[in-house]
Formats: sequence, C-alpha cells, structure tokens
Amino acid sequence: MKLLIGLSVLAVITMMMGLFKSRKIVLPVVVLGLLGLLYIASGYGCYCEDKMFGMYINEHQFLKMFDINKNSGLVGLIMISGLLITILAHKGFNYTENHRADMHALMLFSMCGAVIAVSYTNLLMLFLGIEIMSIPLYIMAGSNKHDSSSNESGLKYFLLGAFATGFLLFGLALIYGATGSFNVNQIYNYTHNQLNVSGGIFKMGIVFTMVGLVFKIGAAPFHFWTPDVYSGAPSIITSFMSTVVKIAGFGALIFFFNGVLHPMGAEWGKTFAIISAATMILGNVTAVYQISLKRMLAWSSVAHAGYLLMTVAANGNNVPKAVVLYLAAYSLASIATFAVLITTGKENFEDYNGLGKRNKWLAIGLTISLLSLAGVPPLAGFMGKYYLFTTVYEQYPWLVIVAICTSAISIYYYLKTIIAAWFKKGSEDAIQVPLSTVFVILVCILGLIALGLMPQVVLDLA
Amino acid sequence: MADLVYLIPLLPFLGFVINGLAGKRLPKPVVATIACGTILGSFILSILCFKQVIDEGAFTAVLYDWISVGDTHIQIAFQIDQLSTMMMLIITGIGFLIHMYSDGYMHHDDGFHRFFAYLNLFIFSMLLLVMGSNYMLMFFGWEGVGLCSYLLIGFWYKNKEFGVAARKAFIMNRIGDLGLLLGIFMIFNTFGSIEYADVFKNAYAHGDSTNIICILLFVGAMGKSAQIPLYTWLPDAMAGPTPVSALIHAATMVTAGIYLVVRSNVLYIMSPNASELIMYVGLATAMIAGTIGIKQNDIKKVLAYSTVSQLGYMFVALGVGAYTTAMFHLLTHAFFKALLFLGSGSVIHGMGGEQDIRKMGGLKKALPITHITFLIGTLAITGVPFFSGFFSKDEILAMAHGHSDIVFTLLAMASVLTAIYMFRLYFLVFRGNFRGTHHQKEHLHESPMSMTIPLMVLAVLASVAGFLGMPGWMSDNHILNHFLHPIVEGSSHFHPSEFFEYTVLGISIVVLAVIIFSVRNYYITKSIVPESDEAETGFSKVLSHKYYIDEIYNTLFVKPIEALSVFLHKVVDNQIVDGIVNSIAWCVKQSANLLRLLQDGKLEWYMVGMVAGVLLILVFNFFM
Repeated sequence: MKLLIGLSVLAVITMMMGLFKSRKIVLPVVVLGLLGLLYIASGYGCYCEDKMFGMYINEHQFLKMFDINKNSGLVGLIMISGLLITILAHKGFNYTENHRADMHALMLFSMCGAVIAVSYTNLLMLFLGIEIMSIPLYIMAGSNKHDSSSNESGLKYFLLGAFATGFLLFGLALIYGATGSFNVNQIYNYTHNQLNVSGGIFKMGIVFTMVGLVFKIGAAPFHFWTPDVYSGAPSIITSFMSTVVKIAGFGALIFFFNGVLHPMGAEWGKTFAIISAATMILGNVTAVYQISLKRMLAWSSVAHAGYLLMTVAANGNNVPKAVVLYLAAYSLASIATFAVLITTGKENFEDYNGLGKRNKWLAIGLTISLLSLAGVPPLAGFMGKYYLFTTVYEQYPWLVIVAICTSAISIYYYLKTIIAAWFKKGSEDAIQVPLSTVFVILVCILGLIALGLMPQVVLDLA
Repeated sequence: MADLVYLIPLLPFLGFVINGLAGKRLPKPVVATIACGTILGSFILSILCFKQVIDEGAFTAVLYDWISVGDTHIQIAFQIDQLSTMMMLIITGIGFLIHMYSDGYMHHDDGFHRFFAYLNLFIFSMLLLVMGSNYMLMFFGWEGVGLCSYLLIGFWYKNKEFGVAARKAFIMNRIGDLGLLLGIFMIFNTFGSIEYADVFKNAYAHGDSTNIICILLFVGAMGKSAQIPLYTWLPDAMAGPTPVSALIHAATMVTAGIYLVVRSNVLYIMSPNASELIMYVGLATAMIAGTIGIKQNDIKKVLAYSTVSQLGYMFVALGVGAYTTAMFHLLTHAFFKALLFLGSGSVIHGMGGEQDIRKMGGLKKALPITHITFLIGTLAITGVPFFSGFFSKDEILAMAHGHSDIVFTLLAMASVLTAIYMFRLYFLVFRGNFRGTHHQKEHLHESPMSMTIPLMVLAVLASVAGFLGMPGWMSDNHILNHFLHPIVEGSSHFHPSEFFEYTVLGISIVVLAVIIFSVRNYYITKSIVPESDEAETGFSKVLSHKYYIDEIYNTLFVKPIEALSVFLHKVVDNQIVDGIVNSIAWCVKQSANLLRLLQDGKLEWYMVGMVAGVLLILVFNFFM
C-alpha cells in the first residue's frame, strides 16, 4: 500500500515539476524516488504493513482489495524494469523535450496500475489496475506528435484496447452476476464448491475476462495490435510496453486462472494450451520475415507471451517461481536490446550491419541479450526456458515440443541480428553512447549472466 | 577460511579477465604482475586452507545451489580436504613458479598477454577440477583444462604443425571425456546424486554397478593422463611453449586422471576388475613409453615420453590399491618433472630455439645453474637414493611386489629404462663437446634470474620432497600416508619386509651405477652421437618411429573416419540433411510470408480476427 501511495505521489510531484519547468531535475528525482520505493518494496515496507491510517487492514474494506506481498516477485520485477527504463529515458525521451516531466509522470501512473494489476484481491481492482496501466499507455504510444506512425500506433492501441476493455468489464460483470461477489476468495470458494458449474453466465464471464487479459499480453488471436503498436510507438515506450505491461498483464492473468479459478484449472488449461501453441507458432514464424529489428522484437514478444501461457495451461499453484525467473530474464534482455535500439535510433536490420566496429559495447550488449532471448546457455534465458519447460512437461508434453521447435526457429532471427552486427559490412562511423545507457546495458548483461549462473538465488527470493 | 575459499579459483579467473580483455594495452610488467600476483594470492589462501585442514579437519564451502529440480540438487560447492588441499598447493605453488619463469621465457613474444591470460584460465580450471565437491564441477574444470591445453599447445598458431598437434590433443582428450561423461551419467543414474559425499556414502549399496562406472571414469583418466591407447597426444603437445609443457603436460593437468581415481577410490576399492585393468594399462604404458624415450632426439620429446611412462607408474600404484603412494609419486614427479622441463626450456632459450640434442653437448660451462638443477632433476627421476624420486618410486615398486612378482619385475625394468634415457639425455646435452653451429656457440648464455630462481626452488623441492614418505626401514612416520589417511580409509596397506627393501636398495644402487657408467662410456668416452632417423635399422628404427603407433592409428582410425566423413558430408549432409533442413526453412519462410498477410494494418480486420477468436474459444468451451 505504501508502495502504491508512494508511486502515485511521486507521479504527481513529477507532473508538477513539468509545470514549473524544472526539466533538468526530473530524471534524478524520479530515479531517486523509484530507488526509495524499491527499498520499501524489498520487504522492509511490505511485511510490517498490517496497519494503515490508524486502522488494521483486515478491517478496512478498501485496503483489503490488494495484497502486495502476494506476488512480491512480480512487483519487484515491475519496479526494477520501470527503474531501468526511466534511466534509459534520459536519451529515450529526447523526441519530446518539452514534455519530459509529463511523460515520466505518465509512466509512473502506468506502473501504479501495473502494481495494482498483479496484487489485486478483488476483481474491481483488477479492472482498475488494468485501466490505470493502459490509459497512460495510449497517450504515451502516440506521444511523438510529429510522427504519423506514432499517432497511428496510439490510436490503434486505444481503439483495440477499448474493445478489449469492453470484454474484460463485461466478463467481470458476468462473474459478479454468477457468484455475487468481486472478492477472489469468495469466487474461489464458489468454484471450489461447484466444480461442475456448467452455468453459462459464469463460463461466459470467464471467457470474456480471458479475452480482456490475453489481449494485454498480446497472445493469439488477440495479438494483432502488438506489431503495429510496438513498431509505431517511440522505442522507449515500446520497451515499457513489452516489459512492465507484459509482466503486469501476465501476473493478473496467471493469478486469475491459476489462483482464483484453480479448482477449474484443468478445464481451462486446454484452451490456454491451444492459445499458447498458436501464439508460439505465429509469433516465431512471422518474426522470421521481418526486416525491421523493432518489428521483429514485437513478434518475438508475442512468442514469449506464448511460452509464458504454457504455465497457465499447466495450472501450478499460484504464480510459479519459474515464471518470475522467465519474466526477469525476458525483461532484462528486452531492456538491453531496446537500449541499443534507442541509442542507434535505427530500426532496420541493415542499420545494424557492422555494429561491432562502430561500438563494441553496444554490439556485445545486443549479442548477449539476443542470445539470452533465444535461450542459449549459460544465460538467464536458457534457465528461464528450462524451468518453464520442466514445469509444463508433465501435463502437456506436446506443448513443450511445440515450444522447443518454435524456439529453434527463433534462433534464426535472433542470430540474424547478431551476424549483422559482427560479420556484415556497414557504416563505420563510431556511435557515442551516453553514460546512462551504458549503465543500463551493463546492469542488464550482468543480470543475465548472474541469473544464468545462479538462478536458484532468484527463485528463492521470489 | 570457509568464507574465503571461493577466492582461490576466483583470483586466477580475474587475472584471466583483466589480461584477456585489457592485456594488449597494458605494459608487460603489469601483465606479468597481475598474472603472477593472482596465483600468489591463491597460493597463500591455499596454505591457509591447508593449515585449517590440518588443525580442524576437512570442510565443505557451499557457495550456492546451482540447480534444484525435484530431488536433484546440484551445488556450487568446494570440498576442502586433505586430497584437494594437496592438489591445490601443487597447482598454485608450482603454478606460481612457472608463471614467474614464463615472464622471462616469453618476454619477447608478441602474445605475452594472451599467454598469461590462458595460463591464468588454466589455473582457474584446474583449481575448479580439484576443489569441486561433485562430479559436475570436476567435469567443468576437466573441460576447462582441456580447452586451455588446446589453446596453449597451439599458442604459436601461425605454425600449422603446432595447430595440428593442438587439435590432436583436443580430439584424444575428447575421446576420454566421453568416457568420463558416461561415467558421471552412470553415477547419477545409480546413486541419484553426483555429490562426492552422497555417492561414497551409498557406494556399498550399489556394489554391482561400480565396475562399469570405474572403467568409464578410467577411460576419462586415460585421455587426460595420456595412457595407452590415448597417449599419443602428449608427445605432440610439446609444440606449446616450454612453461606450458612444464605446468600442464607434466606437473598438473596430466595428473587429473590420478586425482580422479584417488578421489573415487571408494568406488575402485569395490571393483577389483577395474583396478586390475588400470594396473595393466599403467604397466604397459610405463614400458612402451620408456622404450620409445630411449630413441628420441628432441629434448622435450624425451621428457614427454618420460612423463607418459611416469604416469603409467602412478596408475600401476592405483591399480594395486596404493592410492597414497600414487599421490606421493604425483607430488615428487610434479617437482622433478617441472624442474626438468623448465631446465630444458632454459637450454632451448640459451641455444636460441634449438631442441635437437644431437646439436648440443658440453653446455655445462655456459649454463651452470641450469646444469646443476637439471642434474638434480635427473638424479631425482632416476631414483638415486635420497633424492625424492627414490622414495616414491621404491614405494610403488614395493607395492607392486606385494601384488605380484611379474608386475614388480616389469616395473623394475621400466625404471631401468628411465635411468637409461635420462642419463643419455643428460650426457648428450651437458657433457662432451659442443656440436652446434658456431653462431649458436657464441650466443650461449645462462637464463635471466626470473628463470633460474624457479629452477633453484624446484631443485630444492625435488631433492627433499621424498622425506615426506620415508620407507619403514628409515622411519616409522610416513607423513604423507598419515596426512591422506582420511581420504583412503578403506584401502589396505602393504608393508614390505625390511630384507626386501634392503635388497632392492642394494640392487638399484648397483644397477644405477652400471647404467651411469655405461651411458657415459657410450656417449662421452666414445663420443657416439645418435644417428639420424633415416639411418636407423632394425628394432631401433621401430623405436625411433614410436612403434609406428601414429601411423597405425592413422590407417586404422583417422583414414576410415575421414573417408566416412567425406561420404557423410557429400551425401548425407549435403543432400539428405541439408535437403530436409532447407525444405523446413523454406516452409517456415513461406508460412511467414503468408502469415504476414494477416497483418495488413487495417483495424477492422483486427477486430474481425478478435471476434472470430472469441467465438472459437466459446465454441471450444461450450460445445466440445
């Protein structure tokens, strides 16, 4: 709760700073603020939180609607990714010099929504979280006013997002209608007591909720917006969408299906298995044909959503640790890749020819993060996949086989970029990298290596 | 101390990272200081570990759980006990001396920083190999030292022959590694764990499968420790710089096989068949390598065959169950063989790169320190009484005698061979008249301090190390046996009678004296120089061609495999495999092209797609 209040206050302060034209100190303030909040979230703040505003949380209707400790791993991941992207924004927001503070504020609000979305204990909060997270995103996606593709991306995201929100809201309403409550515990009891509920309303509600949530993480067949929006939006916003938003959307989804609806898991597992397989195949296969690195990353993020959905199908208890590890590996690698993308400002593969000669460190960062995304040992991506596959294998061996085959395809397009960076001839002008970006890339690379060598450490933390 | 253990391998690794990344831009003294300093740091920490093991006994330092899936836990943990501290001291101690020596030896080489980076990486891997608390960490180190060995044999990569030698070493080792890996799989399959502690604790419960495990592990040892039939890479490995030969191919890496068997002695004690096999392989290797050594004319090749032969000795000791004896010989051998190699490096350095002993002679005057230290090394390896080799070798002979008379006799003959080729080498190099060119004679010089100091230190060690394991007739206190006792608790000890020991001592002194005299008479008094390879006839031709083993391997394995690989390449790979792969790739690309059409950018279609998706899910859940 303190974390949420802190995030909102920080966002409001940031917005004010835009008003008073104190542009230069925005970034340091946000970074310091996030660091402070991360400290609070790291356990010193969370666990002693049974009292708030002078009353006990369990007694207060509103405060009972979240439980930040529930998914502390995902909350931490959201905060860390948000922090890294904020640092990247030092260069990433260059396109909107006058509105830096506003953009930071929007990003913080969106993070606020993301934290709510992974820690809800009441479906009302699920909806609010998803919306608080999404509405700033619509603005941010279209924030490069002078770029028509950014405008297009913002509008598309908004229209399709509104469409999906409709499904989500309707779904939640139907669930309320069937169970008479928004409280997750009561819904859990409802499902538990009536395992054979063939009640159409309840089922319909679940399908619509599923659609609304699956849309957010961009899984087939609700992924259509992903490539267009990801490639149209400014790169820094894309990095935010493909990490923080994906973590939050997935956290919300997996808690809903593996936590709240756990007794019905086997029933819904099949649907998710099919969605997951379709997403993995579609994402990986389509990524092969792209000529733009950014668009390729968009498709690859679709593919990764597919891998993650396997765990929903497998229906482990609550959020399995494997998911936290996988998301951590995925987010770090994505952020590092986007950091390179933001620094060069170029989107096509051709522009990365000979990157190794232009700036060795950028090329190394790109190589390590893409290798991790492809799942090459000993990097974090490999460990993430390994744990994910072992969790799923018992129930859906065929799904793991699909995942392995599509991973093999993914190696093709990841390596294509690496080959371009090291072995192809291109422009030879050196690229200057700002210190902030170097820092972010370094943190990501070290994180990827450390997670690959000692994944157990993270798994124990989560 | 347990908190600092991880620093022991980490320091050399840091040295590797720094020298590997930035070495090119650093001045040579800085590179050398980093490389030597990190090893010295590890050495000091190893001494502290050693002290703790003596005072408080063995301990295990767990860093973290690497993987835990279900019941399987694989730890990154270091087992610091008598065996591993002994190995750590040898590796870091001799490693430090050789690093120091390399500073002088490699000073004019362009790849100075690269050399030290590899050398540090080697020490790191070797430490990992001996310190790990499970077979997996040991395997990591095992592969790491193999890689470093490959990199360093082919260090002068512009010479094609050296590259080929490096490749040969790598491939031979890979064959062994396969055995080791299968052995580890078997262990995991049988015991459900690869932690030493778990495996050895449950060894008795799985007695029937230990035989095959032991044989597979020994195949790994064969590769790394150059035993028949996988020994041929070691003589070729002399292509690397001499410090490498001293460190990797004499003192440390090649003894990894010995370490493996001693570490797993609990398993070997229960598998007499595997032990028997080890003994015979070791014996055959000692004999064959010894006979080849007599006819070699390259100073380093003689030493290389001698190493193979001495390793054979150690395996005989392992085969008869005398694990501490093998470790004892490993220790003394590390000292005197490193000394001999470094001495030969000093000779080669002084001769301006010449390695052919037929072109040397009379170097005694020009290289006084090298001469004295080399002589000490020779006395030690041939087993002249009270030098270190005497104690360890006699112990192996005594143990072999306890096993069977035939083994003892053959092994004694092998030790006669050792004395012959070593004194032949010594007399041809240091005594008599100089046979090189005039130019070489003028440039003869003693090596710099950084090279001679390690020689002197090693000479002292090679002289006195034997007193760690005095035989029964000299003292009741066999220090090494006592020290290593916790590791080899299960093994039995054979104590030869004093009468036997005195007899052997007497005979060996007489035989040695005869050998020294006749070798001196042959090469100095009659000043006979070995003939060129073409002029050899009969059996000596077979010997100088190393029994044609390389040629036989070439016809038996290399040629057929090459033919097979041409076939596989042209037919199976180019047509069948590539055909399949290419058509899969074609399918993927075509479907990618088709799927791309779905993504046409029109919002209306996206919504239609989504609605279709919703309908499909509904149908699937309600009607199927």
